[in-house]
Amino acid sequence: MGRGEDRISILPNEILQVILCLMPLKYAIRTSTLSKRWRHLWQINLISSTALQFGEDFSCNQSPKQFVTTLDRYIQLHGDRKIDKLEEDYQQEFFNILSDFSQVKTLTICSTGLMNVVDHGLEYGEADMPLELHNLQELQVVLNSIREEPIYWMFSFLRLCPSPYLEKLFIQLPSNGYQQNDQKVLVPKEKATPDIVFQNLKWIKITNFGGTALELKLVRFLLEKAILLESIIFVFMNQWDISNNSSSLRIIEGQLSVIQKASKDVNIVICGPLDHDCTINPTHTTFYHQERYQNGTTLHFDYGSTRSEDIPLDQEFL
Amino acid sequence: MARSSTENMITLMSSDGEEFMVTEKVARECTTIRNMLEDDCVITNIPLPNVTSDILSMVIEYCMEHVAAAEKAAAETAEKGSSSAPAAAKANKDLEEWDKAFMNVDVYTLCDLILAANYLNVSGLLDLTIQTAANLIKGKSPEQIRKTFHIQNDLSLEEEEKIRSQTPWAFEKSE
Repeated sequence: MGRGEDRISILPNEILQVILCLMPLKYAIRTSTLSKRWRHLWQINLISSTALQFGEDFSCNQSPKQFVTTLDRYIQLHGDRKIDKLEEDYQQEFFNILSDFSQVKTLTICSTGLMNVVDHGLEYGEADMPLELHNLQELQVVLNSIREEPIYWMFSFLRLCPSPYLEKLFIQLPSNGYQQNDQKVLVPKEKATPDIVFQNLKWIKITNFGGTALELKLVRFLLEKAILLESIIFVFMNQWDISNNSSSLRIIEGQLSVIQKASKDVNIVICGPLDHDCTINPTHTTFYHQERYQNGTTLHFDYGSTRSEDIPLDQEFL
Repeated sequence: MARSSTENMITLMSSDGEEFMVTEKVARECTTIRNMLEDDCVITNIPLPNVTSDILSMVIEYCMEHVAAAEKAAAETAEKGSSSAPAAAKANKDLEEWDKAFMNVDVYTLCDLILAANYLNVSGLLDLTIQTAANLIKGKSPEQIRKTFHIQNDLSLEEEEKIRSQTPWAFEKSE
């Protein structure tokens, strides 16, 4: 009479995948052991999905190392596709998330992410600090405004989260220059540049460089601290300046040349947006970035959906 | 108000030859049929070789209920000039309850309904059935899922162990 027959397994893949999409990843993965038919269904489902949802179990039941390996695998499965949303079901502060991810090799972080880390550092004192990112080799900082605060947040971030093995640093300044936004601003308490040394930093690339005093301050800091720096690349915002060797360009060049450099043989490259060398580029090329910012005082972290300037990511991010 | 009397009737024929007379409005709930009607407006008899009579009668039941609910809501809005929010909320809730009761079927029927809803392209029914299936899988161990859906495990013990070891966290019981 057939009522006891396996009917669900004859449904087309597309339908089964939609079904698997409707549940947390954990349960979708469980179906991989049902039978050969179900072996890879959840993976295809994962590939087609642009939202990764992980529940509490995901991070609780594995060591940080396993966590990174697992997530790495999923993100590789995703390939170059953009992940719109990486969602943790549990609500945690940004900082806690970051400490879960302390094994990261490549990290991209935005202004708000920097702010959250610094905020945590100030609020909870140094108990959790410093949080060493001892696998971090590549850091990309995406600043959404070029006011003072983000620069100081970045300084504080580098102090609070020392990354001794950092080799590449990418700083993306806002392309629209001096955009003002009226977000809640955490006024940095510490204005001094941190006393740290970059032991392994070899490449720095700053895009949308405009040569303002603040930007130069940042450059000065980096050049003074990176003892093994090989190259620092400035990608200017305006191609015209480069092509015409404008006077403002020459002024900036002059300013750069007088900065003290910890590394003797550092190679300074100045180029325009059209001719810059593409060989040194950040691993993370697309990331989710949303301007919307909720003004709440609690720092609930939810990748992508609400406050997600925080951590854009893809590929090898975790 | 152009209502009922002038409404076209469509005959739907199931794979086992049974005929179902429905109003065009109900038939149009199935996007697949709506497209056929739009391509050829004189068509009145539609064979559906992929759907058995018991499943087809359920699909029709679903469409009729949802058409009736929509008509009722429209009539109320017309009467009062504007729809009252509490009444609309209640109607929605009633329909949800109805859907829930409608989903009280065995898994075999559920799967057939999914296939039919997919073939006939009844989006509401497809969403409902797929969500029901997802709810049946969610929260269960692989063994429980197999039992629920009568799935034969054709993996060897080693294979199964290997799959599990790739993502051990997914198999840990936590609730």
